[in-house]
Amino acid sequence: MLEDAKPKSTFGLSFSPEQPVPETLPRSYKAQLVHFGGRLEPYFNFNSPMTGQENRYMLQVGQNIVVQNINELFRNVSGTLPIPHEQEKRREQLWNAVAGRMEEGIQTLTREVAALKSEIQRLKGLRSYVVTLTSLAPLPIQMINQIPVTIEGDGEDFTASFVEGNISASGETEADAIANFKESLLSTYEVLEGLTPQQRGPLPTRQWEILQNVVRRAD
Amino acid sequence: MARIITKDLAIKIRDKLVAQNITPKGAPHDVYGVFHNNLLVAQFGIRRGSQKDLGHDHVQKELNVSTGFAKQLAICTRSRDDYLRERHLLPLEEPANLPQE
Repeated sequence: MLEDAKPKSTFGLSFSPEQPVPETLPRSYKAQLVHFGGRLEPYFNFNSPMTGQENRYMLQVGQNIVVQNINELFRNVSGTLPIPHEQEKRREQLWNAVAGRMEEGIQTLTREVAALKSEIQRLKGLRSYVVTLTSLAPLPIQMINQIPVTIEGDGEDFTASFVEGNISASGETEADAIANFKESLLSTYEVLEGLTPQQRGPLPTRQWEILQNVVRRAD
Repeated sequence: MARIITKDLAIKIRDKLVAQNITPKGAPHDVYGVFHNNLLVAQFGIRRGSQKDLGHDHVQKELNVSTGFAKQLAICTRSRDDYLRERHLLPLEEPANLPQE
């Protein structure tokens, strides 16, 4: 450390015994120290109170920690700042890049959380239940077995589906969807009824087999 | 439902699948059939009405595909051949031939 007792001008500030050290350091001085990689904080040791501690500051640069009276610190501080400008600038650039990436990540996460919230709200509104049809009247077909119809909806749109038979219809209400489903059931039956087995693909063949077990032409 | 497939999209799916109108006489909605090699592969209904955003979330169920696949059919990334492959009516695409040594 420097032995020179004369007050030095450090970062544009100078203090002398005639010029009292302020209790709080000017912001600009702290900022400059931080810029050079140092951390400067008021130091007070509660375990061994002594007078004059108000002017003691702790300066940390890397692993080096110096606790000194502010006047001494100012005299010696130029010798305790080993970090060159270029290295510090590079560190700043790296930190800025890291901070930028973190900000982007946070924005992405925020968007994803908002989308998930919206999806959760939508799912909360979904309703799904199964009803059993009691009648197909006044359609020209009648039920010979129960047809379980799955109703799915969110309050604005509904679908009624006979999952096994791949028959489905939509409607603005549950009743509307069921009414449309019955019409769709009849249409599907009539279309398949009019085809020969050679004209039906795998799905229609399966549909026809299932439909023959649940409905037939009304007498 | 969440009204993912609207009437507008259902019509696009119909056109993409080159589905033919097979509506039985007197039916209150239109029925379209997808044919491949003179076989009926699937049929689905399109509701009558002028509203383009009329709910048609039943279409994907009648076509026996996922909602995502149906939407892709409507917005052009999937083709009729993709649908036929999905239904195992066309062989899967051959991997690109590797250069022979």
